[in-house]
Amino acid sequence: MGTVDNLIISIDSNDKVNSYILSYTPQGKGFVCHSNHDAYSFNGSLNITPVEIDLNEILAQRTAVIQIVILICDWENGQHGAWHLATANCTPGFIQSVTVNVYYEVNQFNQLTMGDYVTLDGEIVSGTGSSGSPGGSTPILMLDDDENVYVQCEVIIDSFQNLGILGIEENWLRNNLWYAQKLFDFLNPELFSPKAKEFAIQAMRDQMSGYSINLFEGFLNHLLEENPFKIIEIDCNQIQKWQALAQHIAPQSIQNKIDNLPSSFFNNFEIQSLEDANGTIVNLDYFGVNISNLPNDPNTGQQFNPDGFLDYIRRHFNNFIEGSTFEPYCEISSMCETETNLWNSSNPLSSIIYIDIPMDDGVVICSKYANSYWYFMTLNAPYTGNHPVSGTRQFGYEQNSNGSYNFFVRGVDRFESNIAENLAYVIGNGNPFFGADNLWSSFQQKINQFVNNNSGSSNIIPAITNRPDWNKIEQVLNGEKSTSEIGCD
Amino acid sequence: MKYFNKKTLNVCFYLAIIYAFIIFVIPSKYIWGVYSPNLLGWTMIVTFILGLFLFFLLLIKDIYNKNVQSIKKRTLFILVIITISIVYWYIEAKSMGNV
Repeated sequence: MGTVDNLIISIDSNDKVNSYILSYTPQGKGFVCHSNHDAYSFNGSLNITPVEIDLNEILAQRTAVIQIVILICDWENGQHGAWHLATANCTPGFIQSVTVNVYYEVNQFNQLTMGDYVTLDGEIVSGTGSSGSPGGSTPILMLDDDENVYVQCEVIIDSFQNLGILGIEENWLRNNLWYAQKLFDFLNPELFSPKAKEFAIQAMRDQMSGYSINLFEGFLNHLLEENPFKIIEIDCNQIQKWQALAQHIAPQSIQNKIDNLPSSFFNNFEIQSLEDANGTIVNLDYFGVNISNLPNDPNTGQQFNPDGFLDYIRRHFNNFIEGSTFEPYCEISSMCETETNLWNSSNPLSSIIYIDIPMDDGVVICSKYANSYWYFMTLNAPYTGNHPVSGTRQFGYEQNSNGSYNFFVRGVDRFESNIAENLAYVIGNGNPFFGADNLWSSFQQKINQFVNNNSGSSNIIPAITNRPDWNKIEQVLNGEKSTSEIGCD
Repeated sequence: MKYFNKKTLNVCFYLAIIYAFIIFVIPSKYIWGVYSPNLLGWTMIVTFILGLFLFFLLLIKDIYNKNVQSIKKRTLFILVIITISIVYWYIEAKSMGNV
């Protein structure tokens, strides 16, 4: 299938705005629409349906559904030896509906004169017209010599939504196009949502009364007044997964194991809960790698299945990270052999892992295990003390609809110490989790590198990191409030 | 005690603050591990705290000796360093999209 190149918007002699579809390029062999013409040109008006646009619609418009009817035609030898399309014998080819973004700047209408038109790219093309043919504001189609397609374009723009402003307000906007531009710039990223439009109209009326407000800031305050829990920095695709991690509780068997482990003079083994941490913000992150072709096992040369590759990652975990090392817990010698065997077994549930984090070691426990994922929960442990953060982290893979796999690490955690968080905030230039981000970015890079070095193919998924205030998100994460409270409907 | 006279402490104050400042402006990844400062980071924190301690110690001494000129000089120095640090921090944080 080809692509639609231009939606033409023109202004006629009565200052009326019309739109046309003006170019279409089928795969391989296409035709081009030009602003002037020659012997093979056609009057576009025969095939193009003009659509009325007024200022209300201009402000509201973002997308248009365009139906293109392609007719297959033959050439015929016309007068003076010129070839013409035999339009009378055309047969229907196919009908395609496409949605295109209509892009233009409102203030360009200041620059337009009759016969000019604006393309999808926002480029202003000078008026048409040359010897002996239609000119003026009517767009002209021109086909290359060897083409034999005839395109009938019908533009159906059905997503215009009237802003609902009064005539006097529309006139004011016409005379204050700088403000119309501001409204457009505000409404465009807000996808012309009803709330945004309602707010924009009120802001415009305030502006007409001489009271100016910042549209973006004002709108945010307006939303926050409506819903104090409105948090716009949460990735809604991940929130349910993060909820599952935040609500995860270690099974009783693990709790029993922890209760019966030896202790030191200063510390017992104890799970650090997310709720009891002291950090003011909560880290919600996702670092993934999309694998379209699984790598080969370096030991056997056979291609991994997804379970096998995840298992390989777990058993060779230190090969896939940089900045920390993960080893079975051996700080208490009586536990060393048990934990090592457990971690290296096919079911590492309840195994305890010591993490050598520079200057601040930590311990985690495998609190959930399945073939496609496992969970680590942070532990307070003898001879290491608190893990610097409290929470749960998931390592695993998910299959996509196209058959590829996303191998990922996903975490929900908070700083155990508020002082450490503030120190990290200062040194991390405003991102207290920048060190952790580097660690999990290395996990992505190393998996990606491993896959591509072992006959697989993969690419890194951009990391998702949300750091809202714990107070604002706590009730959503623990399930007391719906995700719609934070704008995830 | 001759090593702890006012002149020596004054030199220590300037060195500590300058050292902490230099470490502060090098990229964060060189002074931070995963969740806490690395060795270099800890030296920065310790020297900065030491510098502050010396600042107040010398302030008390100068007030006692009514040495206004010295107070002005040191206060101006530490204020300039802190201001530059804040501006630098803000520019870095903004460029990273953190503020």
